[in-house]
Amino acid sequence: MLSESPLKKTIFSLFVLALLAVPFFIRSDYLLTVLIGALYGAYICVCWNLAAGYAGLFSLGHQAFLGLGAYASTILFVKYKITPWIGMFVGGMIAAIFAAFITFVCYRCRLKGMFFAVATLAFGFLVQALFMTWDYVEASTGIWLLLQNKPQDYFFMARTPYYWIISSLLIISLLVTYFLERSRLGYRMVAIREDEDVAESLGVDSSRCKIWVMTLSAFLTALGGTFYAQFYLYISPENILSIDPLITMQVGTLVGGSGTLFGPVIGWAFFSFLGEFLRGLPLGATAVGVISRIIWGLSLLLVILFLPTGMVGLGRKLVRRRAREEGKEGSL
Amino acid sequence: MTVFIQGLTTGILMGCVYAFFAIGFTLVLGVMKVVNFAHGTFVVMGMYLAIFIFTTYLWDPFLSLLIVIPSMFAFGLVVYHLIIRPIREQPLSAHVIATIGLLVIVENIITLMFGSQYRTVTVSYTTSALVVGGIRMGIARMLAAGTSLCVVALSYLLLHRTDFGRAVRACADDIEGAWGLGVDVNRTFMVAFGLGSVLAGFSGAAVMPFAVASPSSGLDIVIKAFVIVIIGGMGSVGGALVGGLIIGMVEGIVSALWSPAIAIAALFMILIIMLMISPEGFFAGEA
Repeated sequence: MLSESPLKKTIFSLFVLALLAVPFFIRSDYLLTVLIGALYGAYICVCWNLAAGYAGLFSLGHQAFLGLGAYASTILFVKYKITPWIGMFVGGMIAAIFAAFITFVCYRCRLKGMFFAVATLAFGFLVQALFMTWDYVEASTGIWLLLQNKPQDYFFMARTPYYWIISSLLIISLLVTYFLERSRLGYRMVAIREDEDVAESLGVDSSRCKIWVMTLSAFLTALGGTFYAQFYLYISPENILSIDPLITMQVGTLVGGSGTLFGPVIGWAFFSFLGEFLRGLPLGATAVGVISRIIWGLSLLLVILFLPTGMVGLGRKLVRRRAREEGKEGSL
Repeated sequence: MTVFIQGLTTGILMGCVYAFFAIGFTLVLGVMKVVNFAHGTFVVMGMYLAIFIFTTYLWDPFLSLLIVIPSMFAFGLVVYHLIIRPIREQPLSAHVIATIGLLVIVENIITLMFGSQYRTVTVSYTTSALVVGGIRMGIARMLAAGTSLCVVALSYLLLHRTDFGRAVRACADDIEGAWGLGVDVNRTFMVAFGLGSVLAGFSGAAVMPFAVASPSSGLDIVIKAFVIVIIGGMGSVGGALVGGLIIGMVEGIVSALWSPAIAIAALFMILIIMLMISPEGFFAGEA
């Protein structure tokens, strides 16, 4: 058996070093903006992976947690002058409470698998529909934030501070995943994902594990929502509460490898490169969006049909095969 | 009061249409236990086929069914072979992912071909309506609702009065048992999925005289189908009609008295409450 822990630690350290080094080499604002967008995508993929990949909680309502985070911090800032640095944690708490409540209700009503997916989907759409009509949050118009230089309020004129924030968030979420993988909760989660009845018969309190994981995932997702609002400066039910962020989470996580530490990052990095590549072709902005979506859909299909463990799974298989072949040569 | 009755009437007509949207979905879910998130996008395919035929040959959407039905059947068979058969026995999350992938692909191919703007088909009866005692009933809506009722009745007869229908219901109850009795399970599933796709495309074309189509409306349609199936029970054609009428009436009345956006919120509330009370559906088991 291949010991994966030292390998993981090495990759992790290299990844962190690379993230630290980038701003010293990249001076172009355009490239940095692209990179921040990619890191943000990877971050929400990692958050979704916590619930869907590790605990098998196939949530289709994570865009609502993202939106709750973004709206909470923005409303607090616009209406009550409370800095988003505090607002982001308020948003996180709100999302966490909703997540705990949904997971609890689903558990009590025995909604598992597909029914959990549909229940969370209904929750996501319900939040979107309510925000569309709720005048207090500017309904379907959405909220614009002003570009200003106020570091104390999470606004920066330069791109680099945003880069540092999203990199730290990504590293934190990866650390959370890394330690969760090795914790009692993590092992219980995987047991529940593989077979809930057997796990329960072995004394795993599945409702508590599910609620904890979902809450954690929703909290982290909501922090990403605040970042989105502060960086892109515009939120509306049609961008942050739509199904688009959810598709990002699914595509990145599943293609990269769900239930693995780096899968979501690798997956979303791949699609970011692809997006930039397509943007370089003479196609026009709408065509690029449409074509990259077609590729997203195709990759989802291909992954499900031929590569259920995603890119990371493929990599592991190749490494193992090489190790086995080397072993054979050695024994000869 | 007139507003209420107007809302109720429109709601009943739309309810029949929603039932039409949902029949294929409930059939595939009940028989094959496959959740087809792309079903709504199949409906949109029917809409755009009708639009394409209307703009090119000026055929009425109902006449275009001559082309829509066989092409949707062929499309359904291809999808069954390439996607549905390999994932049928995998866990449900695989169905969700694969069919969401299919949804994204089809939706964006339609966008690529027709653009993302809203499209309509204007035929001679698009704006004409029957007015009874101050209540307005659009001819095109009545036509679609009537077609829907006919299709519901035909599907019921097909499932209960023919050998194919018995085979389908046998597979829905117990695949191995059906196989042991000599039912060609794979062929039955293939035809059932093709039929589900045809029903989706048929309903899409039948609503085009009054509906507004956009490539992204597939998701809304499949969510409505979900609510209907959760109310009516999986695989139940009669249940689909009941579920369709319920959500049609709720939507009609709430939109008439408050606003369409609140009606959408109400639908999701119904879905959540129904899931909590009875995830298998109230009319489950009747087929």
